[in-house]
Amino acid sequence: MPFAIDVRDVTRTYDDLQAVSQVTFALPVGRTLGLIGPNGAGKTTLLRMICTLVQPDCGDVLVQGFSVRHQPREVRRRLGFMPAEFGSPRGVSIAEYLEYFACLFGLSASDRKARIRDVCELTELRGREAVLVNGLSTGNRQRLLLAKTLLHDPAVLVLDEPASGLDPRARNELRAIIRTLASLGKSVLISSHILPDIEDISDQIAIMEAGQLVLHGDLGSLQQAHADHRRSVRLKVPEADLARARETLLALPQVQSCQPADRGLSIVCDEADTNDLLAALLQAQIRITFFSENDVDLEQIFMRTTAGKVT
Amino acid sequence: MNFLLQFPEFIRSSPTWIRDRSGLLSGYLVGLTALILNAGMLGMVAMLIDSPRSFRQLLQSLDFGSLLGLLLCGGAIAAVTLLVPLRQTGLFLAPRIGRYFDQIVLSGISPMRYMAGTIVGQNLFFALILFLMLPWFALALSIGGMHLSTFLGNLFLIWLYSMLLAVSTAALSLYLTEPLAFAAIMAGSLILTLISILPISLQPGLVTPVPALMASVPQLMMATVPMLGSPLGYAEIFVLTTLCMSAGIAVGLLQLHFGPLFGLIRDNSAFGEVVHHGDNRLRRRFRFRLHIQRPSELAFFYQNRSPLLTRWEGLIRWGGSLLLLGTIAGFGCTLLFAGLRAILVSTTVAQAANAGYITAIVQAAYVAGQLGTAGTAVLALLLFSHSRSTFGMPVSVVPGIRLRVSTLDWASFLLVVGGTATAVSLILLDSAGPCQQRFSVAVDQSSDYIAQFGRVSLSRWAVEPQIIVFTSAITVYLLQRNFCLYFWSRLMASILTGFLWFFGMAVVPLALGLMLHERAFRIETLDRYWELGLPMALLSPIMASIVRFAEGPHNLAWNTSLTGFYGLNIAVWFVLGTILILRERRLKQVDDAWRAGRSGQ
Repeated sequence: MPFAIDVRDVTRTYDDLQAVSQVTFALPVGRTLGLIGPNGAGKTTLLRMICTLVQPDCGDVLVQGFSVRHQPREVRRRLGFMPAEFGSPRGVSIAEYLEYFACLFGLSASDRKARIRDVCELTELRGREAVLVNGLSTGNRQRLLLAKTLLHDPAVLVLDEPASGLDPRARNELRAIIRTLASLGKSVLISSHILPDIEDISDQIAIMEAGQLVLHGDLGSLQQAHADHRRSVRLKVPEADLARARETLLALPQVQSCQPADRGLSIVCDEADTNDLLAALLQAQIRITFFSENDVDLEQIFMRTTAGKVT
Repeated sequence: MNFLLQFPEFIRSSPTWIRDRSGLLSGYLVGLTALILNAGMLGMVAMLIDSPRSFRQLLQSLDFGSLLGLLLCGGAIAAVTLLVPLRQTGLFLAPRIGRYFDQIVLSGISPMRYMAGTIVGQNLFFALILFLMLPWFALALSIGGMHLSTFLGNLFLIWLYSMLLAVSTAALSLYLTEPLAFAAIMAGSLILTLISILPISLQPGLVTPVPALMASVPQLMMATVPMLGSPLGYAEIFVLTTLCMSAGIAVGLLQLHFGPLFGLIRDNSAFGEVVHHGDNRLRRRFRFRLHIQRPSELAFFYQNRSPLLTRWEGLIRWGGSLLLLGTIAGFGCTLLFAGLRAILVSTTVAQAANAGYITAIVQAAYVAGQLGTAGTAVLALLLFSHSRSTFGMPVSVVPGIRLRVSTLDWASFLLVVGGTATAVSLILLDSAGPCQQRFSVAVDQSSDYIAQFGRVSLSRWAVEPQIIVFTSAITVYLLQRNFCLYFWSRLMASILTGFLWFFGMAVVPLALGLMLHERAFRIETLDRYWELGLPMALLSPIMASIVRFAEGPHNLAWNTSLTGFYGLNIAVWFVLGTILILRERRLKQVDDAWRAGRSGQ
């Protein structure tokens, strides 16, 4: 299978600090990979290495077969990088901003107009071209950054924290745009702290901690692998019954743990019929206000695979 | 031909051109330009009025049309000199402050295309200046005084000058923070403009339009400073100025094409800021090239540039620097040679009998020769030493031959300083015979001091002070090269080198030696060794030179042996050379380890 991004055993050290250590993974063409990890995990350094902004101390990254070490110009032509930080020339409108970057990407005068119109359409900035960039909301800035990233029609997109600082509506809209891009055949590598977003749009997941890749694979297979024959149950009862309910559940042999969480209880039990739990509670005359069985979600995978270490 | 056809698109697709084009139409910029233009012209009028006699003479010899034409061109030169470099500042600093430099790098744009837009944008600015001055130009031409072709010639030269200023400021911005580059260009322009009105035949001011402007109104020169009459006509000066400015623009463009010569370094923080080991805020303040230091920014110049001429990079870079320094040194040597010749030819035996006169002239010439070599050595030291990030970088000198930066630096430094010292020695040797002859006349009726002075061998004077300078230059260079391997900033290394050499090698032995000799310490144990005072003072290059010029203490003959001075310098060479070799070897190991793909440190 051809890879859009092929990260091969890359390491990057800053003085005594090993920011990225022997990371290897690959993103197949046309897929979306979510890169997650706690602060200081080395995500940004890894993305900057993929984008040719930082050279790896050892190892290499191939973007559509071109090496970031030896063919950085080729890599730059094929890759669109949306940084976490918004930077812009002073006092320009959206149209001027996009025209400036379209010129940087070397688009001819005739192509520029059409391309700017297309990316504005895609990122829903159409009709706002005259608005000054400095006055834009965070959501619109992110749209603009994404529009800028798409100007030269790159096959591979690297998005660093695109949803950072966005409200739920803006996040939802951004997710929709990224899904559209994926449907257009773009390969997308996206780093984020917002796990539900990543879970929603990614085919693959990579988890980094303390500069190392601790997990990588298809989201579906990871969820299956982490199901590990245990069930997770959320339970809510009146506050007065909380202690009694916990005692009752812990007395059952299939219950492995029962912890107070979010004005209720979070229970992990063996893969057995959860009706036993309900029966025991009803027998103890405890009123149940909420009962839910959870699948293994990304947050759980993340919590299980990371230990909170930072570099 | 193909390039000419593509040129309009090349400009139309330049991002900086797009930015400039919209910025130039702002009322603020139009108003500011008009204000500075008028201020420039009024300033020139004020200077004339300040000197009523010259002004009256000028008005008598010049008609109003000529005067107005001169004022307009002078005002345009002043406005261009101030505003063009000012508009160039921010070329790199603005993206850095606005935090979008990385985006520029990632776009893959070549540095030349990025900068070309701003430089070409100066044409629009120049058009704005012309537009604002149009009514005045029409008035000046309609009332006569300056011929239309001369007037257009002056405007062409001012336009070329604005291009030169734009290219030079951009090229200097690769090495200095832009406000510093702006200040340096302003200072350079001012100095060259002042030199332009000096009556010298080899005129460095030809890179400004001032000589042509002055030549366009011959009456002006005759009226104000009669001796300034130039032997060249307006047409010749016009052609020479055009050639000089075009050469300057070509050099600047080559510099922009090749980019700054700085090796990529591995040190930076996770977010791309350059943070060296043990770095702190105070140290960062002393970095003079704040805007281009991150690996990604340097990569912009190396990775995004077009491959054109890169196989000749070494030859062009070092050859260009050698040519520049050679021109400066050659200019100095020519002045020295011509000056000495002129003085010797015009000095009669009767004049030479005046010992004080001939002594002063000869001394001044020989000291100028020594200072000239020292000045060239300082410039060579700054140009041909590179910091630890760059010294080991291999550079293609000509196709098939790659040499390390440090090798090219050594060869260039020795060539320039050795060549200058040899040239100055030969010039002084050439005049030594006639000077000695005049001395022998002078000494007959002179005082004791002149008598002593008259006994010196001018042939030895011509050569040995140059050897003293050359010896010291090698010591300073070795010190600088060592510091360059410990500091990231060449300028910091230079400041430290200058300080350490001046006090450690020049002032301290001199002061301590003289104090010991004069028993100034008033300590019995030390006073016992007073005889060692003068040999100690002679370790200093200052004392060595003074003695050779027969200006030392009475009990030191002008031909006292300088074995101590040479011995000390050779010992220092040995120590510094050994440290340099060891340090270079260590850094090369680290560098090779990193390049080989292993964690180096």
